[in-house]
Amino acid sequence: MSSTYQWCARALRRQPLFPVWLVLVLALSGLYDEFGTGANFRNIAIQASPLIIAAVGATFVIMTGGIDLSVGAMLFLAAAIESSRAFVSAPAGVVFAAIAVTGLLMGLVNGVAIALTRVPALIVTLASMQVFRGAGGHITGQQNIDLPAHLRGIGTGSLLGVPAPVLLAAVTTLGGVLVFGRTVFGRYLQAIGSNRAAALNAGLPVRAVTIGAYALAGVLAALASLTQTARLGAVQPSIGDGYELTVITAVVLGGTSLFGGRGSITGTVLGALVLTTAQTGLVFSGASPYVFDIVRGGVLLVAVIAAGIRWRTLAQALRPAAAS
Amino acid sequence: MSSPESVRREDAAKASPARSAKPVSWLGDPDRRPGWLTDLSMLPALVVVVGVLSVLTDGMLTPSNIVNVGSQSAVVAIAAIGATFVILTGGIDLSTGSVIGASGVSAAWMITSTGSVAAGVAAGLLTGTVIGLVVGTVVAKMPVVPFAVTLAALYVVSGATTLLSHGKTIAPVPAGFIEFSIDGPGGVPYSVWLAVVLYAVAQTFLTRTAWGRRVLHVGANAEVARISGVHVARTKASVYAVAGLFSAIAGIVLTSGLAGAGAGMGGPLLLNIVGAVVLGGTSLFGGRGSLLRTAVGVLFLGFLSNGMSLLGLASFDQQIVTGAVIFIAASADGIGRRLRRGA
Repeated sequence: MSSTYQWCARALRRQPLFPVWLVLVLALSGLYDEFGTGANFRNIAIQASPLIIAAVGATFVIMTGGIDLSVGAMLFLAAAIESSRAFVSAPAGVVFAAIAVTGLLMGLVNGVAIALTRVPALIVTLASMQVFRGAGGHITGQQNIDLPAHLRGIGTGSLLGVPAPVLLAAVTTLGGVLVFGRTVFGRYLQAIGSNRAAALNAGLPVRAVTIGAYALAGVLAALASLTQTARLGAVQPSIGDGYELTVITAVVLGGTSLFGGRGSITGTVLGALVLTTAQTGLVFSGASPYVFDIVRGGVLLVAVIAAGIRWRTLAQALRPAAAS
Repeated sequence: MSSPESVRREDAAKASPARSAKPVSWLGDPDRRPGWLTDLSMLPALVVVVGVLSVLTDGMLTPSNIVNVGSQSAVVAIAAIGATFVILTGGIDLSTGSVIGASGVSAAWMITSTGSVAAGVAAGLLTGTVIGLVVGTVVAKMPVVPFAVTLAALYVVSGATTLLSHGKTIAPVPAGFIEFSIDGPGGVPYSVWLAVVLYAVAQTFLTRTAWGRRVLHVGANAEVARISGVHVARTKASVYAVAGLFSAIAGIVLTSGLAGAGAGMGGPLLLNIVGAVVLGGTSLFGGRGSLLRTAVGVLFLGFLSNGMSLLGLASFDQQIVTGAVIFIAASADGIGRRLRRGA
């Protein structure tokens, strides 16, 4: 009995977002009859998939104490290349490989510039965001382009009743958890994020790991783009617009510190689910889509302040212990 | 006598001939070099870019085109003043573009509903300053990363502005108000004169007032500033409020230039505003920089975009070039910093 209670308390402390999500889902199900249906939950899961994939990538970057504002633009450029004329009749495998390479290259551009020059990641990715978005516009000519049918399978297909995007998101999450918790790379990420100087002094390959984190984020952004466009069946100039805010909010909401070093993949996934659920709820309420801008901005603000305050109380709690 | 005092004097005596044997001209000595020379270190790059573009295009350096560049750059120039102050403290303000939209919309709304331009300008300035003050207070008082707060503010402000203006452009504004960005003394629009005056005022504030010194001090080393008695939080908050004020002025000028205001009008300017500050050579780490540098950066981007338009580049191609230039400039700043530290 008491061990169950302790287990619950520990789980709650580790993942305080889960009950929030549960309450949100229950409240919305109570408010709207259509909300609590299997079809709607399936829809939410599919909608959350690209966000989960991109946000897992962003978690790696933020874990190093960096940031990637170019994620939405990477989404757009990957989609633009997917829709380009060169790939109209290419087999799906070739297109997917090309998209993955595109993502890798975009991530490398960011990562190399940040790791080698130590310029704030914010500025580097703000500038590369313009370059990627401009390049995407150049390829698509700012037009809506329909995707050929064989490229949509990844968005509409399913395996054993599980929609393909959800499957991809689940695989990404599992991979992210494993890389983060069970690999040297994952441990190095946390070490660099919590104290870069110490990591350097300990002889860790700080630059290579930083570049690796951005490269991984690029590949996952490309994968997110693939799932997103396949579901929509078309590439629109607005793809990924403002996506960086949603991604960063999901990561921060999941408990990952923007100062780096602390965070979790499962938290990020929950953060993405909370945001998507809230967005679906707003659609049900018939509110203007701009309300979602305010909501996610407000959520980010609250989450950042809450994390900061929690961090400060933690630091204060630790101080007397360190002094004695 | 071997008191520490005399030893130190001997050292000084030993050291001084070596120093005088290799005289360093005031050009090479950062301590004796006048500040304005450091400030203009990006000027050669500006001259090269203008030179190359004027060879490639027709009519780049005609007086009418130069005035054109000035009037097209005025909005970015004014907003970049505020961004410079923020970056000088080591912070960043991503909400600039949405504050431009919000203050422009509130100014236009006030003008169309009361008919008074003065009331509109007051409403616009108030909107921007209040938003800046709120953002600044959160950044300064809370243990948070500035970019996250300003990123959140960006979307909250732009979302709220779009909702309140129902996604429409607020117009019409009086002809005299539009005239502000078209005509002025000497054929140069009032908006350009305003930008020039604001730069002179802001540069004076930065270099000649206690507040300006505090801004530089906080940016160079917040902890030292705190120990020497600077109210760091208040200085930081004030900087964001000033940025809000200048974004508001930029928003009002933009409203006059577009003959109306929409919520989304400032968003695309963010990169140019931050980029102008970075290109001018103000350090992103805070503490080093000036308005003179930003002015050079603004002119650089202004001539670049004007030249690309004259060359007939599509808007997304211009986006690639601008992004790449800022990307390279920021990386070069970082590499230069590493080299200086390594040497």
